[in-house]
Amino acid sequence: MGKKILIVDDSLYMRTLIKKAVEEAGYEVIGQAATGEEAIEMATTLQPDVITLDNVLPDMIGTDILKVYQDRGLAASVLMISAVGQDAVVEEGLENGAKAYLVKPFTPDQLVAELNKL
Amino acid sequence: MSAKKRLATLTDLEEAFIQGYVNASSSLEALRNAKVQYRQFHSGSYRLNQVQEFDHDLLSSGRDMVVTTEIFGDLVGKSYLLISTSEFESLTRDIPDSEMPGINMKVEFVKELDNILSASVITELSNRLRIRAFGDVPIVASESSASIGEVIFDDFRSQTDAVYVTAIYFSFENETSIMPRFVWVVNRNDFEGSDDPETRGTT
Repeated sequence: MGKKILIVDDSLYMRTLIKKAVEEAGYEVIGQAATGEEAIEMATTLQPDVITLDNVLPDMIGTDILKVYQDRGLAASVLMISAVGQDAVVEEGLENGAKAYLVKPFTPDQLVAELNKL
Repeated sequence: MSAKKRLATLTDLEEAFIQGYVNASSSLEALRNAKVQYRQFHSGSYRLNQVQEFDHDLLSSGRDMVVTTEIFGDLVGKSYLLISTSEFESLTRDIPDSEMPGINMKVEFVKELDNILSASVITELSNRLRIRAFGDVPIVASESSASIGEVIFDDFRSQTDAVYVTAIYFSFENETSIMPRFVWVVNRNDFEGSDDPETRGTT
């Protein structure tokens, strides 16, 4: 079985797109979260190997979620995926524990290539 | 009482928008796998009590769906993506129906499309103006008989007395009937400039 992955994105369309791409690449999707609160709870209980984390959620900013992950000592590798690509925000994500940052739009191949590097 | 610190000049803002629109067109190209261009058909400053007069032939009809993204952070602003029914059908032609009851995946796609287009512009505004800004989760507004000027007035009446408005449409090389319109409104008082907010926008 491939690595266990948690998908965090408020967009149902984007979650569906990511799920299809990663499952075809051999990852096991163990959860999908649409809010920051869900992202924290599911990461804690499901203990994924990898998390794809959208940077803007209805209730929280992705970098704040990263800080909670760090505080809780979660071992998952985080790939931030966001339409937001400004330099300062990318740097902030990487400084707070994200392993990589992928800006939307992206192709399934680009997504899988980034995940395989984690 | 000290004057509020301005974020940048109006010229800086206009240049950032132009590059943001270039980036948004590139994002749309990647999503549609087709050549996309944009044309700015309006820009200008308004006293808010005059923005209801803001109108244009390209805005007065065929806006059956309006997707809005509110900007938060250092910048007060909002984007409006206007799409007609035929444009919606064309843009979502390749999106499969959802297997989940009660979910319209085509609408979900358009919300994500708006998210990506708005973020392309916000990214450029943030980088060029050295500000921190984000787009909130997109909202699909229900069809309304109100003009876009009236909608802007209602959206900004509690936040400012003057706005800067810029509007473009996208065009597709292979589908000339599709031209989604993209309107941006920001607080005019956040920017230095010599233009008179009472001047109607240029078309």
